[in-house]
Amino acid sequence: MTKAAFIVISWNNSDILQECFDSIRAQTYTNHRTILVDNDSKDDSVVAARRFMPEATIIENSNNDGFTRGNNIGIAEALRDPEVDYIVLLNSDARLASEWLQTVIDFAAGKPKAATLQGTTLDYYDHGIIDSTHIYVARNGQATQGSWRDTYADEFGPKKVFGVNAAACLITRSFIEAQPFGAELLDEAFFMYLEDVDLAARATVMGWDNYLVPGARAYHMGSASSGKNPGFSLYMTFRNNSAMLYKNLPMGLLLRLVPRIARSDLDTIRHLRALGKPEAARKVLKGRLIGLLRVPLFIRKRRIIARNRRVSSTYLWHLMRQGY
Amino acid sequence: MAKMVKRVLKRVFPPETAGFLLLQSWGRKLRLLPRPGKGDVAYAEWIRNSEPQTWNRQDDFAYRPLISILVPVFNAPDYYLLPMVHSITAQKYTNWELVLVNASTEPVYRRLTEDCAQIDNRIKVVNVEKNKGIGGNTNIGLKHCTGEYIALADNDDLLSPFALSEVVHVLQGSVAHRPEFIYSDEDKLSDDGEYRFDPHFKPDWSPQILKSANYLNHLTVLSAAVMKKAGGIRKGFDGAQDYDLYLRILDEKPRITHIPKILYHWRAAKNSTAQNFTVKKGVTGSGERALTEHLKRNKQKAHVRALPKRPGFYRIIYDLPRRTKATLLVFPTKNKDQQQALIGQAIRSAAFSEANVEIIVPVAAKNAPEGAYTLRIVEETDSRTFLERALKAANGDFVVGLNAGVIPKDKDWIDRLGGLVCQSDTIGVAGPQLLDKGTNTLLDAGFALQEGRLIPLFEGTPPATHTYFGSNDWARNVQALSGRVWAAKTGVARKYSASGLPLSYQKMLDDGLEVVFWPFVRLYFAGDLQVPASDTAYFTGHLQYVQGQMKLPRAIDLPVRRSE
Repeated sequence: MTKAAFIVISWNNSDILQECFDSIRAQTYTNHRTILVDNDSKDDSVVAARRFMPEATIIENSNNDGFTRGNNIGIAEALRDPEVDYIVLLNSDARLASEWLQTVIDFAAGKPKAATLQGTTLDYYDHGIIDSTHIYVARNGQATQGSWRDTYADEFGPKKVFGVNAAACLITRSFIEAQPFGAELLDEAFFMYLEDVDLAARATVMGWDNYLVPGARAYHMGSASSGKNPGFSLYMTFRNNSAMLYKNLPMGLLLRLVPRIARSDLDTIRHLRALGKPEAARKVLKGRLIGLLRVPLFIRKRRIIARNRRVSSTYLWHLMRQGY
Repeated sequence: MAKMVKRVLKRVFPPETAGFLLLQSWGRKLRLLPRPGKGDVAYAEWIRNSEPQTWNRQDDFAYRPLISILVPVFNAPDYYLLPMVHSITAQKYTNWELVLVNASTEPVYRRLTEDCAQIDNRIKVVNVEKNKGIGGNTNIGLKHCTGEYIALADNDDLLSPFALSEVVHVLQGSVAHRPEFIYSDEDKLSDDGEYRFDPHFKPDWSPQILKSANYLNHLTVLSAAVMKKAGGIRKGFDGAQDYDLYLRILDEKPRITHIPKILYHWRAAKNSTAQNFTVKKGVTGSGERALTEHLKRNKQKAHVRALPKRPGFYRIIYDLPRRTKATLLVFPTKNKDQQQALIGQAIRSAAFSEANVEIIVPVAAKNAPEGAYTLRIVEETDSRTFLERALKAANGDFVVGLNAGVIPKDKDWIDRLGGLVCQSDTIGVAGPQLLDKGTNTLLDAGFALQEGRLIPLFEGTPPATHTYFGSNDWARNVQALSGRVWAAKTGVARKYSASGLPLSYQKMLDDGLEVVFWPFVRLYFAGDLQVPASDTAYFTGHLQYVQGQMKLPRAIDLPVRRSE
């Protein structure tokens, strides 16, 4: 029986940890362990976690190195256990339905090239609304959440998708071990935001499969940790966008995207200004400019990914329409 | 300024002329003009409204056979192949295996196909060293299929996610009634996979259409036993290998079921048959041969012709058996001039027939010219009694009924209809294509049922029009005919008019006889000739009669789309 490891990052959010742990403990598939990585919380997160789930492995970081580094540390710890075949990344503000793990593992078994999988993630506050079914890079270069805010209706068969939302997703060990960068699954240069899109793009470009597994339901609050600072999230999104695109996409496709990206950026800025948020518009511009300046940081990674590329630009272009 | 240019251009290139169309296409290419919307709006709406409702939600089947999906792959790029493979991994029904026969010659594509085995453990890749053509490759794949049922698919098409679950749904029930041959509706997918268009809503099992075109096509699921019996694909029919296979299997009379749902999306790839049939040369030739051999196996003397400019569509010309006698029945009408005109038509047609023709008329003919025909009179003014008495008197091997207002378009029409009904034991009655003389559009192509009501098929469409329900120049099994012109073997006509009413189509269908619309014989119906009141009543009554009796084969709820 294969083992799964849950990885949860805490950062000043002891208030929501208990519910998260409860949903892990309620899983019908029982062969799993939990690793909590605390990013130097200033509140009582660690104490609370010890109380809620004494059997969990807790790793205390001495400083906040971001969501990506936190997860990488957790993943490295989990993979030290040779029995662990599946890693589940679970945001502290996400909850799982009790059959989530069972459903996803059932589907992943027998798929050697499955990289990442997610179920249908619904809005925590309103289960009739979808938070995400998948993520993808749209044809305007923007990272996009599939079916976001759509009404939740009946689900049909599983789908191969561009990528999965890291709020609640399962990653296979074989994919992690096939990474060309060694242990670094999530790019630490991203700090936070778009690291999951970067991972999705990398998996897809390298010819791995990401799946949406309907029937596995998760519930996500959304931006509980950083929602308090919307300007920061805008800045980070736009900063990391350039890196994500540059790292992963073939040059022909990238050139095809450039005019569309420029148009979409201008639209975003105009839109934000029209809403009376010139501050946010400036963050977008700053994010894009700094992102472009940071592009040289990713030259080496781009080369490595290009060497491992298995799919054509046309295939990617087709996927970029709606993510499947 | 722009208005001026527009006005001048309109003057120089009037709309719908060749120059206008050329200019329009260039304008669109250069993005000066708005591009037309993608796909078919009416169909997209139909998908949105109807598809989820018709999906089968059940998946706790008692009988869960292994279904092998056989896909020969030849140099398929990833943007065609991977969506195809993932349309299978996305199936709701899980007991399947996918057999990819890898005959790719380019190393890139070869490796891509080999890698597909990694996607799912249920995928088998069979490497073929030397490409043996689609038929040979399929046969190699057949040896590796272990399923009880085999579905054939192409390497760039998509299955709908509920396809296999629908198929297994119809396989439930007793073994004795389990279908061995299942086909479903299909549509086309744009080259980039963005939209679906051109659906084909197929009728239930129609042997006549199959002899006009391979309408079964996709998705077809065959029982492995039947497939084995047929011996797989034959060599030398590349391009129409599946057509040949189906025709051979159908000679064995398997149990056939139609799933009236769109389960297959045929990608209109830039170089595939869906987009441009002529790309695959030899398709038409192979199809002609497959059909000719089928007729030979059934001991029918006929020749097959491919329809000009309609690749993949065929017409069969049945020879009239030697020394056949024909009887023409000219039905009575109240209008004397019309009656004489009709008799004149019958006499002129008889001159072109190779058969020994006798014409039975209700009144004496005026100025009848001499000719190789016999004229007999059964004096009667009522259509029904005339039919009854005339059939008793008829000496012909087959009878042709003629009502007021028809003008033959094809000279040899009697022989063509006669050949059809005389050579086939399964055909009860056949009706030709009736065209409106003024507009040259179809008046009568038989009737189909829609929610218990008979509706005229393809009424008002120009000949050779492709619709959501297939082409109107395919021979078809229909529920009823209008009865303005019909042909049947004399014995059959006697048997099925015995009820004191005109031919009973429902009784024929119940007895396993076919009611056939035969578009390869064309007659005009002259609208300027007024049908007298009594005749109108006769037709209406006739229709009401059939309407009251017909069963519902399937609902037709879409407008007929006219091809551009």
